[in-house]
Amino acid sequence: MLLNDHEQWQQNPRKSETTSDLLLWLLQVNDSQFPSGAYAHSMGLEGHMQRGLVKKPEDLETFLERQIVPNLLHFELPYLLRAHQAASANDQTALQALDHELDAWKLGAEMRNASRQLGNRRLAMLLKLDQDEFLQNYAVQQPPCHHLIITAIELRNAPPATAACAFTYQTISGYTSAAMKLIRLGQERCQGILRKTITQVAPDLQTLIDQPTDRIGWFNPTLEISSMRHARAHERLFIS
Amino acid sequence: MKGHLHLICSRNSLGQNHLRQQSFRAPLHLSKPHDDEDTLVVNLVTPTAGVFDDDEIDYNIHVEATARLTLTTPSSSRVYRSRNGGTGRVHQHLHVAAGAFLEYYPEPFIPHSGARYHQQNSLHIDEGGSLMFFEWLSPGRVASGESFEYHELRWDTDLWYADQLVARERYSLTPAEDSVSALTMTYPHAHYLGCFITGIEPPIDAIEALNSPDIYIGCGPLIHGGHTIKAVCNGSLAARKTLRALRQLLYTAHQKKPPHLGRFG
Repeated sequence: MLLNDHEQWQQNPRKSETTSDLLLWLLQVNDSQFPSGAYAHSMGLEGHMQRGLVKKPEDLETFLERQIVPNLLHFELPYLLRAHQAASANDQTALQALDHELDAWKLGAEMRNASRQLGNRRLAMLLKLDQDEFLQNYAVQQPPCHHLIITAIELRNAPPATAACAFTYQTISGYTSAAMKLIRLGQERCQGILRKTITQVAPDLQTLIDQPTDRIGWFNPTLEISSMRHARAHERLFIS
Repeated sequence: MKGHLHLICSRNSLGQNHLRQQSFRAPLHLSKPHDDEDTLVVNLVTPTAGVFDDDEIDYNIHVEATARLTLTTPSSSRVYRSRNGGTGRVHQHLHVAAGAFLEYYPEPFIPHSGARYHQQNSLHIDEGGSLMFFEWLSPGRVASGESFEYHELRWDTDLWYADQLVARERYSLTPAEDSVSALTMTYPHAHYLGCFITGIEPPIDAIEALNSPDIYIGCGPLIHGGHTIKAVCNGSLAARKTLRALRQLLYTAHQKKPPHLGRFG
């Protein structure tokens, strides 16, 4: 599925990088050593743990399966694909509009700020690694720089499915990494949960690309409440 | 059935709140508005049992500068089973001018088994306008054994403050597809409360102190101009208790007394 997508992309006149360049770039920017600051965020998971909603590895699996994967499939990935399309078309105006709109979508201040912080850290690092005129021009406008938007820009020369895979991996591995610091969870079990969760997303990615929907959004007030409360928690390990 | 409610609330030269314009059509009806605590209280009633397949209802509510309006419903809003596959639709367009105040305080929304419903809320608040917009979504007729058995609820809300989009929500709740799992993982018959506020600085610590084993509530600032409050409650009694306390806290922060709605003793 992804190979077909990649072959189609190879024929795209905008493609400017070789497959190996692209793969190496993808590995570097998704590596846990890449200093995006993601290690400092639990994205609401710590709040869930404080409320007693996630206490053990089985709870983490359920949380990812029923709250995070649906949010990816119904909101973040379709949004990422819109941003990727705009970035691939060099449409900075559309990207900025999507970036500002995310401020309204992310109701919880802590989650909103976390998304901006991750995006800005990622953007700053990318600018140091690559003389990318498109990125430089985008940064000059001082947009919110949500993580999702910056990921779409950094991978605009990759096929959309690749960008979606990268964002999916970043999101889910962020949660599993945070979980290891919050609950009794070993590395092997963590990798098992990560693998199980990302394979849950994979079959739907091509559908998202082939049949983009006008209607996006997901209902998760519990995670929003956890995030809002976390901002004022007496004790906390993570920024979000 | 296609109904509407168009209201313009103003303050006259004597300083009284009044409806400068009003127009409504079944399935909506207005009770006689009355002034309480310097706020015009308007009760919306539905002579029919509720919303049925293919019903369409448009609300257009404008609160002009310095006027104060509380729009409320004396009983729950119900959406019945869709028999022909059609969807009941409600479009709410609310506008609050600078210096004006609008409280929107409905009783619970009760979607029956098999219901299909789409609600769009478009809230436009001018800079300096004050809003308390409450929503209460119940899981259904729990006492009759119906909990999260509706077919689909679509809920779209946009809040604009000073011409900037500051909140956007799009929900498609189809219990058969796990889209209510965030609610049911907290309580099997969870009631959801949502609230948007502008022009009032909410007492966040006091609001979050409402948390208990039966109430999970959070409050935080939007990107600009307002706050949101969300709560998930274990049953209707916990939801009512939360909403009542929340309303009192917000009015206290607003340095006003809440208008008496005739159902809180």
